[in-house]
Amino acid sequence: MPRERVTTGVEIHDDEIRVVQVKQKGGHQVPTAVFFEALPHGAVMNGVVQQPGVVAVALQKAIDQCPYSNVTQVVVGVSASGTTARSLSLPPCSDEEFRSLLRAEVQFQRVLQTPGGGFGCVELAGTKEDFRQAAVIAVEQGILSTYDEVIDRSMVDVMAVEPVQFAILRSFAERVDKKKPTLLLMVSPVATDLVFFIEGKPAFFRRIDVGSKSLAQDAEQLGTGLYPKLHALDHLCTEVRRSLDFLGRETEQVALLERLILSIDHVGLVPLHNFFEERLGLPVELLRPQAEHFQKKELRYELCDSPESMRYMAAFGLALFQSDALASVTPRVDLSGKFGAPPTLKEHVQALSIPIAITAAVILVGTFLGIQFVTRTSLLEAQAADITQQATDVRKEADLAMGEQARRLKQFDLLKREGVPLPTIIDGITRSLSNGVGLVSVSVSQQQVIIEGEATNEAAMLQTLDNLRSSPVLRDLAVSSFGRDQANDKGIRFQLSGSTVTMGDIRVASMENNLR
Amino acid sequence: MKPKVLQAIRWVMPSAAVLLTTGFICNAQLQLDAAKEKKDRAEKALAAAEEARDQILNMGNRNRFAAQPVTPTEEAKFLDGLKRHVNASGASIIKWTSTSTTYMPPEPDDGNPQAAKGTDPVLVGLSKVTSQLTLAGDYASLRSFLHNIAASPRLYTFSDVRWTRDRHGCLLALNLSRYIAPAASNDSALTVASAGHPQFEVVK
Repeated sequence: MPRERVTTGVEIHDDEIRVVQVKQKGGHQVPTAVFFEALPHGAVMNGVVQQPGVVAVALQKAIDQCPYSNVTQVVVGVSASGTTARSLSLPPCSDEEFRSLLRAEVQFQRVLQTPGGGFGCVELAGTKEDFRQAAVIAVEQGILSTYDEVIDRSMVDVMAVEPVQFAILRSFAERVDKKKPTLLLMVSPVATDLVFFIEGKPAFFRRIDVGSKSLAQDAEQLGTGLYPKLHALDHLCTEVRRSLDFLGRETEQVALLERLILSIDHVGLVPLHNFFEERLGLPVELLRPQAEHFQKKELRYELCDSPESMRYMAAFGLALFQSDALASVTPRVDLSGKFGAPPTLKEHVQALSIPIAITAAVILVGTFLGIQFVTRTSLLEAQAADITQQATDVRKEADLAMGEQARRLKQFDLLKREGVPLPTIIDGITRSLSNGVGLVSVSVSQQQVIIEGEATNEAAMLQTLDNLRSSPVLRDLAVSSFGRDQANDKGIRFQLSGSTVTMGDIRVASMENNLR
Repeated sequence: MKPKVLQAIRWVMPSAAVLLTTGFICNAQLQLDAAKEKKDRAEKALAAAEEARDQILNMGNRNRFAAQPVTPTEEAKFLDGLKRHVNASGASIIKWTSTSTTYMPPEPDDGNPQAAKGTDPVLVGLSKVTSQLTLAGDYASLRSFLHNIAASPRLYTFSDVRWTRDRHGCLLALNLSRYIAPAASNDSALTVASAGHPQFEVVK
């Protein structure tokens, strides 16, 4: 999105303050205000501010009337009546030396009569290669200080103070046809400045001491159609013709001259247009802005079509002060020293304050978030390490428990073998007894089982013996003794013996029996 | 300072700050995510380890055990349980005496291979307490007593059994052995857990 710049050009004329405001958008200038503020008679005389307070109030009022009064940059023009113009020649020098040499030449030639003051210059393309030439327009300190006082009193933030000749040159450059040589006559109250342009660049400058104040009387006579005595006009035409003759000897470009552009600051000078055409034999155009810039019809009329429009050319040029495209043709001159001065440290800080604030805020937020993240990350890392250690401890505990479990199982297996499976053996023996057989005693040791019993007959005893042999609870069963019971003739008393088995043996034997 | 440089600084400085801060925060976010993932993995590993440990401990608690850790009240509790079992089965105790031996490690240097085989290392330090017990009762009550003792969570072994019958009933003389672990082995979680086991099951 192109940046918009609004500049207000203010020409402090002897009779009025002329204001033109231009909004620059992209490469285009769009006028947004054209008006004047009348000054009381005597407030400004011959370009010198006589009543700074009055002019300051008028200036402040004029700026307040502008549509972009809060954001506009203001450029104030010093009337041509308050300036001194001179064309100076300098020896060949570099661009770096040019300014210092010019300053020395201005001092040497006493262009400025009093100490202080300021000057601006436009380098001339020149007709001789051995010299560098410049048109210097200077303002005495006494005049400049009156403008400074007006600016201070008005409280208007002024960007630059520039002689109006440069503003008119800028207005002219804005519409110049660079292909053809052109002659520009800038008529101001007390003098007329002549500038000859070759290829769009000023090549010759001369000030002729005939201004609009004296020309106005002649112009009135021109309106009557009677030409009794036109001293000022004759003098001006003669000097212009002499200048052209001089230039004709210096450069062939004069022969190609096709037109003269006339800049006037007073509507009464319009009749000069035809007079110059007759006397000089050249087409003459009045300097006006290009109409295509204007979007508002009323502004277009004020600045282009109205007979009064010519007086705004200086203010229009001042309003084009910030145009980068025109800066290559017409230099920006600031006699107040504000424009182009390196920004102060405070201005640097102000310009960078918002980016610094944004950067600081971003860094602060980033640092805060970063600390939050790092803190949480560290906490989680510590928790993860703690949990990992806990898991390791639990695994060790499980390993120990597993080892202890295995140890206990082994203990159990080993110790279990130290005893005999007594309930199983007793049950097995009891189940094996046949009818007519009773037990007297059973002895069970680690190695041997001894069974003593009584039977009613041999068959019952033998049946019991068979049953016990097939039982898994005894092994290697044998009859140790048997015989008639001495106390009871009817019974048989017997003793059986066998090897003691383990619980494991019993299980194996039971399985084998089941398989059978 | 040149206006172009100033203009560049105006844009570059906040932009660089935003970019750097964004990069820093993104990196911190990645590290945070990695830490979260690491913590989740550790938590899962801990849960798995705890589950495995609990399974092992529960398995140990369900199993029978051979040796009860020594406590001052061990013998009193044993006798109480024995008496309850005898009474519950309908028998009666005629005689009870007790002797104790300890499993010692094998002597290493006498060159005798039998001695070298000796006591298994897992038994070293255990004490074997043998009760010479004589009970009186009918066949069914003595059989019930034997089965209840054999089915106890704690290991009891029978040896040198003599069961006799006369016209008044039955007498059962036997050696009933139990095993006691030294106090030093109590630091094992499993041993501590086994200390809470009942020595005898409740006879219904």
